[in-house]
Amino acid sequence: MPSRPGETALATLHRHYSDREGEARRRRETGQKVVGYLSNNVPEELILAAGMFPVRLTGDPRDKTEIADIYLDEVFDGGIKSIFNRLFTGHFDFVDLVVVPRTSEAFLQLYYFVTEVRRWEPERRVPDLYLFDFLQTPFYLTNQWDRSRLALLRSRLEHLAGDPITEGALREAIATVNKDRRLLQTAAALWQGAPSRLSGVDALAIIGSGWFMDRAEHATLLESIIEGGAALQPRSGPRVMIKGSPQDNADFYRLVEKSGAAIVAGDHVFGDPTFAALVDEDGDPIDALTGYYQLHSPSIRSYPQARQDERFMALVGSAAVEGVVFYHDEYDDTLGWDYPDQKRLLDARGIPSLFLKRQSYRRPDHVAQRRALREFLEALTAQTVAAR
Amino acid sequence: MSTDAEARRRPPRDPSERLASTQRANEHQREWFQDFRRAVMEQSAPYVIADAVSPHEIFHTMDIPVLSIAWYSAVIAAKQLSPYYFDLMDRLGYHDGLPRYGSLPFMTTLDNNPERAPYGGLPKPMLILDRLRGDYVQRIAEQWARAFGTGSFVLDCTSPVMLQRDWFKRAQHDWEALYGADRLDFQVKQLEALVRTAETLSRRTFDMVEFTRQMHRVNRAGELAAQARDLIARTVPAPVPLTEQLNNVMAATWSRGSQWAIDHLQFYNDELKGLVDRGVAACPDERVRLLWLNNGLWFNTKFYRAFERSHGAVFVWTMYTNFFSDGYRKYFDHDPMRALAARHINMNEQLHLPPWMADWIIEQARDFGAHGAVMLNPVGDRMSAFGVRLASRALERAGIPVLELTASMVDARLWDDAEMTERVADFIEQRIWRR
Repeated sequence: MPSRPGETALATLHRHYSDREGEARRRRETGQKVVGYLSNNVPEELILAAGMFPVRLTGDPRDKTEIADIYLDEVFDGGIKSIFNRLFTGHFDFVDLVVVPRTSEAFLQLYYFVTEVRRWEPERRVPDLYLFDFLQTPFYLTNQWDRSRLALLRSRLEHLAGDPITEGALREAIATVNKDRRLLQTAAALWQGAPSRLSGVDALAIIGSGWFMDRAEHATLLESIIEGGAALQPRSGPRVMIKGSPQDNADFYRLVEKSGAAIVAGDHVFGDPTFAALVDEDGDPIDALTGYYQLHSPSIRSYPQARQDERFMALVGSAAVEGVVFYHDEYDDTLGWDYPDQKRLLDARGIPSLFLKRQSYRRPDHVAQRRALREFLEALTAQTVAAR
Repeated sequence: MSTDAEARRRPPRDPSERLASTQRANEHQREWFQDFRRAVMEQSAPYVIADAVSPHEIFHTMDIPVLSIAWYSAVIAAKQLSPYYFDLMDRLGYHDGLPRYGSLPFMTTLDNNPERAPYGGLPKPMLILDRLRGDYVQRIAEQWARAFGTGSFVLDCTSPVMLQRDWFKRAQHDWEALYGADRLDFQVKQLEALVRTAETLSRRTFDMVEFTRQMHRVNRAGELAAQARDLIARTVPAPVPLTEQLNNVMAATWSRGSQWAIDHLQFYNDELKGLVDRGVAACPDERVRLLWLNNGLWFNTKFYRAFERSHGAVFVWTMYTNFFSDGYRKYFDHDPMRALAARHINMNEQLHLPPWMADWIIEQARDFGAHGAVMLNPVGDRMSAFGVRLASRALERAGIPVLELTASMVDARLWDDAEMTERVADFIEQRIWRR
């Protein structure tokens, strides 16, 4: 029986989302250079324009962290421990360079700890690391600093590629990634829209796979998914947003949706904010990239928070969110400062929320999570029914 | 250095007796706060709330008082008020894993109860100044400024690609190469923007001649702090306990740039020398020298002296007693603003990140002839907890035994005095006496 339009495309994106390094390894085997990077805050357009393959590096809660446990303090985020361990155990042996942005304290610490522990573990082969000292305060001076950091990164990439990055190649790369972001904005209607037709787990894979595969191919597959979107069945269940710490895998989303919710938005650095803005294609490409990554690429240091909260509430409104699940990592020392204001904003609109604080990356308490979700969703369903 | 035999003959010092300089330091702090309250509350003079590791010098030059967040946190903790404010944090929805140290003064504002807050609480400042180390500082500054109905100024933090070795030997004279010209250029631009902001808000003009004078004074005061440190390091048994060192050096650090800081540290040095000449010791039976690593235990400074009688163990060093001399001094020929930029540009890395943290501590341990170290692994302050494990390993590898105590530095509710005392006693007996 022939598959519905988009079904095969969705399966392909899920495959890339699961096999995150597969495409990068294949590229490496064909002789293409591969540049790994952390977070949304490294301009993948520069890597593409240099003719190299960009791949976002992530951790995995199922990893052993035997090297990280020796050197990193307990309070390091689980995802960072996993990446650290992978760097020292050859997991990322297919990359020619790892770009680490200074857009979170955790990344900065990771960079310094890797640099130092290399001296303690000289027999281990660790990829070259590059500190991309990029800042995100919304000021002119910061913009000037960032422009100079982009120029340095460009030089480093040109050196690695062995060729200069031309303006034409850079404009083409910006257009390629922008096209993909535009298609993500369109595709997002399939999970954010009413009715919602794609699950949060699908949304995570659709968004995330773009970081692990060819961007142009990703865009083609998105077009296919969008084309087949209208034929998808509407989903039932309370419309929920997941907000807070990075969701670098689909485990929690799966648990929430198995509990009966329909996740219609994810407000975190692996979710919907990652494609909300575009790079300006008309002006100087370096200026445009600088402005985009300084002001619009989401990170924990985005500032000021009041502006981030406006954006959050706009997404709550546009996705017709009925309830918000706040999910904060075990050692969070940052997002918790935002929570009281955000809860007040939701309360003012009569939108219930659940706060799951201090959640373990490697060993989350699924029983407690299920119980809290069940109670929250029961109350949410009752409220929604009453309101209708 | 004195011999052990000579040391044993030294007369004991009354443990309750405080140095005249300590009394002067405390008196100075009290007077400073009274003047501050009078000027700010009665005469509506502008003042600034600022992170401890930010350029207070800009405001000192303009005769605008600076209230250090760390200092006020320590006062709140010392007055045993931290449990109340932590309960308030819980009630307001700030979860119990958030950093506690820098948030206590913010909580006094949200509490809005002058009768409870130390010295009647903080009035509305002209500005809240913060340096964006970590990711949460910007949140507190933003919310606090909103609660006061005032503005905040944030200094963004660039980062060095390489943490070059021996920062403590290079930071005073070779800082241009140590921190990097491009980073210093950016930091100077940020400071110039801060000066303009301060001028606009206060309607005062920044006086470069006075600023230059202050920057020279900070260096002179740092030299005197180094002199005191060297005297204590080479004198066995130590003439004063850590608590007295802390009072005197910290008071000068908060008032850096003033003539008072120089005069005070000179008086402190003279008094120390007199004690050494007379053979007075904090613990005449000193047999073990310990370093206290990482943040201070502000609500329970008595703990620093808890092992003198029982074990002859004396805490002789913390980062607070030495950072003024090693971290603050920045010598310059013609550009004091660039020297100021260099002062704060990497303070966090120097105190908390490998390899800078451990390198410095190992050097100090050798200078002081320390037998071991007790490292506070702070709860509820992740920024200060980063690097503890690797620094401990580095010290152990250098032959310095380390005991890690996991505790909050300000939350008395989480401190089990009996257990902690037993752990340190056991550490001294098992790891140091048996060596």
